[in-house]
Amino acid sequence: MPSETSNGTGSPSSDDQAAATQRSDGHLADGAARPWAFAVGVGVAVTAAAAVAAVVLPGRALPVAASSTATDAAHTIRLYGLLAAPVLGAVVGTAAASLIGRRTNNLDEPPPDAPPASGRPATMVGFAFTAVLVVAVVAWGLVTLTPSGAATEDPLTVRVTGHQWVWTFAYSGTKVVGTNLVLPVGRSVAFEVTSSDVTHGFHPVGLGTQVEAAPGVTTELRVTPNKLGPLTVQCTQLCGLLHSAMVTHAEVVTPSAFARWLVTQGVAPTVARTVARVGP
Amino acid sequence: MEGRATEGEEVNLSEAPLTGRFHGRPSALPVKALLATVVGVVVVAAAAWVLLAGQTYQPPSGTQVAVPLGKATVNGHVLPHVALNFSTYPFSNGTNDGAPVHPGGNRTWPATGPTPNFQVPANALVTVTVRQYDGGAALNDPWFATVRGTIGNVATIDGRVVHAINPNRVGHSFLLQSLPGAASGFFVNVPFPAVNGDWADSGKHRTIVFDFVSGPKGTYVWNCEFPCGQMIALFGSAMSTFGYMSGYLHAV
Amino acid sequence: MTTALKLDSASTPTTWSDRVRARQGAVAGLVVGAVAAAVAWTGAHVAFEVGNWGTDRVTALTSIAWILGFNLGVGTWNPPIGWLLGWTTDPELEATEAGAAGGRSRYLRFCTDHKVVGIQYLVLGLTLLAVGGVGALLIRTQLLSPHSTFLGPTAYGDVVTLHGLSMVIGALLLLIGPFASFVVPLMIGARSVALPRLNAMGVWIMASAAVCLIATVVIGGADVGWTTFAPLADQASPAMTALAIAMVGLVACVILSGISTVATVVTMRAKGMTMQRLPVMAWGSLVAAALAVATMAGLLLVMTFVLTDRTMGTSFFVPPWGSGGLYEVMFWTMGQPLLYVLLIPPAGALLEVASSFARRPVVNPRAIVVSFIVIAAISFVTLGHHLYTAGLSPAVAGASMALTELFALPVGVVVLCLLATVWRGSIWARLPLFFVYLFLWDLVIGGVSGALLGNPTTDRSFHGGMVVTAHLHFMMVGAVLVGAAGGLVYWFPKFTGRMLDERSGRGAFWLIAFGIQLTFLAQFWAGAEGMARRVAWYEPGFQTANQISTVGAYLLTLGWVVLVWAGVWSARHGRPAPADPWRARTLEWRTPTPVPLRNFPVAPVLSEDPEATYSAWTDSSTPGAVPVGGHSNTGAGRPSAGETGGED
Ligand SMILES: [Cu+2]
Ligand SMILES: [Cu+2]
Ligand SMILES: [Cu+2]
Repeated sequence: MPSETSNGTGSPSSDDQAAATQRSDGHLADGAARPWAFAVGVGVAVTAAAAVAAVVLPGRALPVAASSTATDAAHTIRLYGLLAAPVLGAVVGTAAASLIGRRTNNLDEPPPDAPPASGRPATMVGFAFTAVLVVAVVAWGLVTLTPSGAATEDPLTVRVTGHQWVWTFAYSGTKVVGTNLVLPVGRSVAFEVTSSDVTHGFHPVGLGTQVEAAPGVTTELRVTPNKLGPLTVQCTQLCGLLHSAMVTHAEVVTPSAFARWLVTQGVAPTVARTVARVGP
Repeated sequence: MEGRATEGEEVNLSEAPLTGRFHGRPSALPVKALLATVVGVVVVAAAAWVLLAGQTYQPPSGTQVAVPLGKATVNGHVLPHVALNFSTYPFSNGTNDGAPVHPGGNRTWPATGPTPNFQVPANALVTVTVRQYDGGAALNDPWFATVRGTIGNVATIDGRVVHAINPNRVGHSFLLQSLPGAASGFFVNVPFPAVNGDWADSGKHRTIVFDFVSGPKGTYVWNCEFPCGQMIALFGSAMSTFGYMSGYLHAV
Repeated sequence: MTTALKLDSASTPTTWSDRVRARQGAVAGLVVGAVAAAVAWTGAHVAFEVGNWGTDRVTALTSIAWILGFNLGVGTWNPPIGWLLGWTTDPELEATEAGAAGGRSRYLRFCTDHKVVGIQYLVLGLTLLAVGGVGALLIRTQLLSPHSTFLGPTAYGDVVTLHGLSMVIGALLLLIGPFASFVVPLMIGARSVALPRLNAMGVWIMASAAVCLIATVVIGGADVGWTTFAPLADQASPAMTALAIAMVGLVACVILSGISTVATVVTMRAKGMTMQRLPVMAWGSLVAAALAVATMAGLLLVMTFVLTDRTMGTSFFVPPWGSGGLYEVMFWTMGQPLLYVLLIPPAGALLEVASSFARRPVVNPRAIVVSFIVIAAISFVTLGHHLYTAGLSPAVAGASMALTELFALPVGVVVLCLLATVWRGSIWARLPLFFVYLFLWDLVIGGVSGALLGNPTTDRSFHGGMVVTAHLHFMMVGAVLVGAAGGLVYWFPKFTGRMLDERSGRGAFWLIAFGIQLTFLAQFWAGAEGMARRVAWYEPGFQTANQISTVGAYLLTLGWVVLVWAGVWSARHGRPAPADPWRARTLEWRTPTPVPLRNFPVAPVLSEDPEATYSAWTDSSTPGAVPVGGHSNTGAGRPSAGETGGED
């Protein structure tokens, strides 16, 4: 094609030389004699920045972890962020280096052709790198999935029912049913979750886990709160008109405070102490 | 075209400049940008208007401002005391002392009138008087038949002070809660018993009176927990359309 | 033969069907559709008591009558009806239907010219995207303050549904129309599509279905989200019935056009255009079309079951006999592959763009094609990652996680090949190339967040929250729409015969690029803090992130508006474009613009060069390159004079 060859096509055996010869009007010449160095530099910088962000940002944004599950999740987020940092660095470094190499901003004329590239070595290396990351990610995922065996023999059972548009919590062993969730610290809780109408999502934010509340089904969720303080329970499955208001206050308290709270809800003190597993 | 066809690939590619930039036109960019912004605002506003006013099942508008009654003492605190009045009807074309509810709305749905939106002072004692004109049946969950969050966890129904009503004879209910992150734990639930016998818009009613202390400044939402709609769990239609069996309560 | 133009029946007298057909078009469609809908509405009101199922039956019959009537008026049903009744048709009319008459009116008619169909899809897709965009702005305006009463919960929920569905469908139509229908047949050297009537039917069915979809917000609204999960969908207003019927229309559209695309790529390739040499863009469209056809049965089933639940009292998704879990499994069986139907063609388009503006062939096209196929295959077995919170056992969750994380491999290969194509290339910094870089950046962020959500432990913190929203928007806007936009900008000269104004386009690009980052990175922040998705109200602590997101959404929308405006302006006033403004190597640039009715003046023939790449790009200076093409060394994929298909 005459119009393509009029600018001269770079010699395929030496693309650097080709770049050096293309300084005619409008064509930006080779901005980086060593695109590899530029790519590595940008890549390392981006990787470092992303790694710092991956370590620092979750701590600033995530709600306080109130269970070991939530801590696991936070660790997983940081780990994935750290693994992703070099991916972002490699992509940005390569992409940026491609722009500072032979480039023309001339709108009317394309630059001469680049030599074809097989790309196989780079693709193989990248593929191997990705494969290693995938293996790491899956392995870590399987580790966190494995039941830790920490679930106590003696959970506090709370029956959670999603209604349009309120949660109710029933504490087994008592007749207490309320709209606020109060949990004793350090004891495994077995949530038995269901719904009286459509599907809701039961998410005690901060406990790092959630489960669907589906009508006609009881799903179980086990978690051990390990930090005193307030939590939020929210609905995570669009459930109609007031889904947005289906957010409830929860509180993790000491076992004795839990027993006292049960008493305020009308439970006999002896029963309350038995349910809360506190001595007389 | 014919010429090109016979020439095959020998097409002259440089018959026109490759840039799409256009020259020699005075720039009317600021005017156009202004115009585009105006058009954009109009489009979004029109869409909002269609959504809010053009609905088949248009909810009522208007907010009922609570009537001041003076001061009251609750748990040793002196609070402003205000009153709210509303009614619940079997149909949207039921009447509240002659005034139709929900003009333009779905007439076959139960409704709250004269408006489902209320305004009360923050941290005030609110005395609510409800006239309940509808029949009823069972709740989806009997738990909602108990009164919660009012003064003493009780309501006065036709002059009788009660803590709970028959969960199988509920007409409507009033469940008030705060929006996310505000007034944690704020919760009011008052069931309204059904009218006995021939109920359909006959003017028979039950009167429910209850007092609660409004929370801090902000917007709250209320909804009915009696399944008075249609479809799954009878929570469709009127129950799922804001303004029939639900509304705002603004604490100011 | 493949042509829709039959000239062998010139003596047929004008028949009643011809007189009707001469008047068919969008206007007739509106009239017939409105009349049919009115008749059905009246009749249904007589037959069914309003309330509960009655209103749904009325809505269902009215929607169906509208779609059938509109398409009757347009002429969509002519091919099957004509075939059944044995119509013999006036050749002039046939030629008009095939687009021979030219003129603007053919865009408002049932026209079997695949290029006309492509532009019809483009307009329909952009219309739906505009509707979705207005919805997005309404949503973001509501979310400016934590307890806003701007829209109220009913309108907000209705808008959330309409926004999601019209955006997903609008994006899909850009890939079906401009890409698969307009460009791909040209790219493979076809002089028509294999099934022009099927191809043309889809767009009009979708147009009428889109009316049902948009109408939902004024006939009661469906406060259910784009996934329309049952049993909530069984509870929503009768508008949900219209929505489900719109989805059935979408199924018809996708199946018809998908079959057409597959048949075209398989059977209509130019002589010498082997599957080995098929451009990656055509491969992407082929894989995506096959995947789309395979998934649509799932969507058809869930929507049919929702319809019967709503109108006939079945309980597929209602306890105790049915369950919402069944809906979720059925929906994601279809929905998960659908997301990759959306992702693969833009990736293919941007690979072509990268090739043209880095001035070298696509690197390692075979690996890319294998990756596309692997992505399609994996997408059928990864629905589990949507169900981690539905009570999956650890074993199933673990298997779903492993399969989900596997996506990183084929997607990674595509990214690597895209990077290798631009790496040390001769970069011609024109507008379409900008989108390649934005796509890469967004895809990495979307992909990494996807890997995070593919892990059950983290998903159980983020499920149903704004992190999911941010992730899916990085994929859907950052990758899919950016990729589609890059492709549309690239092929703009071929679509319109004019050059897109580069300066406005670049302005739009930067608004889009920064708008995406602001809008959706801020949503990651809100989600990490604990904000749920699809909510009209949120905790005041999340307000800063939401305000940033809203500002970003306005900038982003402005960017799209500027881009579309630049396109509309340039289509009328832009510089006339030469046939091959980018000096590209694929076949669609080897034919004049506007593209003639039969696509190529002469049937293109590619030489049998075994070394030629999928993109049919061979550089004459490559050592050992065998000259391809008929009689010169100008590169593979060029039509050569004198070797015609023998049809002209
Ligand atoms: Cu819910
Ligand atoms: Cu009610
Ligand atoms: Cu109700």
